[in-house]
Amino acid sequence: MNIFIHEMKMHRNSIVIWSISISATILLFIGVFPAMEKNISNMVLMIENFPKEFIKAFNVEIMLLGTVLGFYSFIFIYATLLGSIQAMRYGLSVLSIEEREKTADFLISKPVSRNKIIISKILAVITSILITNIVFFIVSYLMVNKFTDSNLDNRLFVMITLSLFFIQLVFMSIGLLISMIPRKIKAVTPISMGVVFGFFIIQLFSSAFEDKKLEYFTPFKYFDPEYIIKNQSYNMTYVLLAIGVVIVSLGFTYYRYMKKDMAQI
Amino acid sequence: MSIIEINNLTKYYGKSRGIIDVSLEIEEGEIFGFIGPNGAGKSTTIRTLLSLIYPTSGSATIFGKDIIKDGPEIRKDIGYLPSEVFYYENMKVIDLLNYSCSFYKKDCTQRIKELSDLMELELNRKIDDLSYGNKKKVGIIQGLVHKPKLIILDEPTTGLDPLMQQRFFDLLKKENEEGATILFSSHILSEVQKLCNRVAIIKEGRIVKIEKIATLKATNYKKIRIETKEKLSLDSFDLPGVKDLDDTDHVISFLHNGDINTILKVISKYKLNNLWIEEPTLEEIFMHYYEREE
Repeated sequence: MNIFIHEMKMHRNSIVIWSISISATILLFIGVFPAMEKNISNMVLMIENFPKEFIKAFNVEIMLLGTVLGFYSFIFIYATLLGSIQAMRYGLSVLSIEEREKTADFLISKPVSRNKIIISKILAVITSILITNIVFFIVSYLMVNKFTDSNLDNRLFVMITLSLFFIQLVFMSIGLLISMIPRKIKAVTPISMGVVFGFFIIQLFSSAFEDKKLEYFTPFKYFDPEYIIKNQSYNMTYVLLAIGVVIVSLGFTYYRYMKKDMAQI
Repeated sequence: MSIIEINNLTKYYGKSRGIIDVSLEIEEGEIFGFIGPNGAGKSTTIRTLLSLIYPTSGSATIFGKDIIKDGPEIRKDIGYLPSEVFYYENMKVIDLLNYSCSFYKKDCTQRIKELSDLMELELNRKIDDLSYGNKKKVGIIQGLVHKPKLIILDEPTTGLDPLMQQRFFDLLKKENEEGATILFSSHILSEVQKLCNRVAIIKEGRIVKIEKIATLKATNYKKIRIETKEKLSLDSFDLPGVKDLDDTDHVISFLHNGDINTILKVISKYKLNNLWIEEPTLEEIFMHYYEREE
């Protein structure tokens, strides 16, 4: 428990900053919706002049933009982009930080098993992500209701909003996995940005060219809001794939961490 | 009873050598010194004992328990000071010490106060803002706060001023009198001499010699260098007890073991520009040990 509490203290500022930033995507863009709702026919005319690939790449199902959930899911993508960076950073850094900051000698020489260290740390990261999601959920729910008069489909809203948490879990696991591959991670930011934008670009391509195969390679597609709205459910194939990625990544991380030689100071 | 027993411990980092076939026994109540140049394998041995790294082959027990299988159990009674101390960002000294204590499930408030008073460390400062020496003090207190039965120190005195070093040594002596066994690594022989009962000398990953400090002190080597105007023949210094005789640019240097008066009489025959009599470096003493081995 003491490691968990310590980790939560270390994450405190970061949780506040990320919760604000991710919620801000909704705060900033939702205000545009009433205007969008009124002028949707003009918008459609305008957007239809854009190249088809461009429209698809940004996941703009034009008619959907005129509905609350459609518009919400459009801006939600940017919330998941930020959320992924947050989760990736946490995953990459939570175990590797001890070696990078040279505190591994302090922690491991205490009477505590590595098993307990890794579990406490991963639980702390999941809790941090969960707190961010609770803040995000409350903010989005209030904002979406404030800016629309129409009836919000609560079930779909919850399904879409919850997917932030699931995508973050996938990115956290990938981050943990990557952190266990090299002997020592020197810098967290460039790797997190690189990996997350890499997956995001794959997502843009897969949407633009309607390439179904590419979708498997980007967690951003595993919980596609457009699919959720159309089918009223998650795509189970991708849900299983997401679970698979999480299990394999965490398994590998656990195996490696238990056997790892802590880098010499 | 042996507190630490190391059997043929070997550690390779990939292909590069850490330690080879290290065997050691450290008895209860001993202050044991572990000396050797940088990169000899002192830290590797210590870090293996603490399960920070895992051995390639061989085994070791502490308090009679296996270091890997019973690691967490063993570490309840170990206090460890790493060679370089870096602690979590944004933490105050007191926060770190409390965090450290939380692993031992003991109330350490009183002990933290005693130790920080003794080492003159302010508890409310941020660790980031501390000087290197003060960070070292945090490391020392963190290692001693739970009254460990075995204290392992990796190059503990670098960064401490002489006064603090003395206090720290006194503190260690007191802990030792109260029953703690101490394993102490260093590359400075004089430091080890002050404190230890026995030393192991390690070089290039292998234990070269395990010796009582009393025996080591008996070898009274001095390093002597003399500078003269005229060139002297080296032969006049080729006496019993003289080693490593060398002559460069009118400076003759050698190691001497034996009666200092004999050698001074020889030197006094010549007109000198300069004279140095120094303690030999650890490296030079090692060299002399290797020669004896052969």
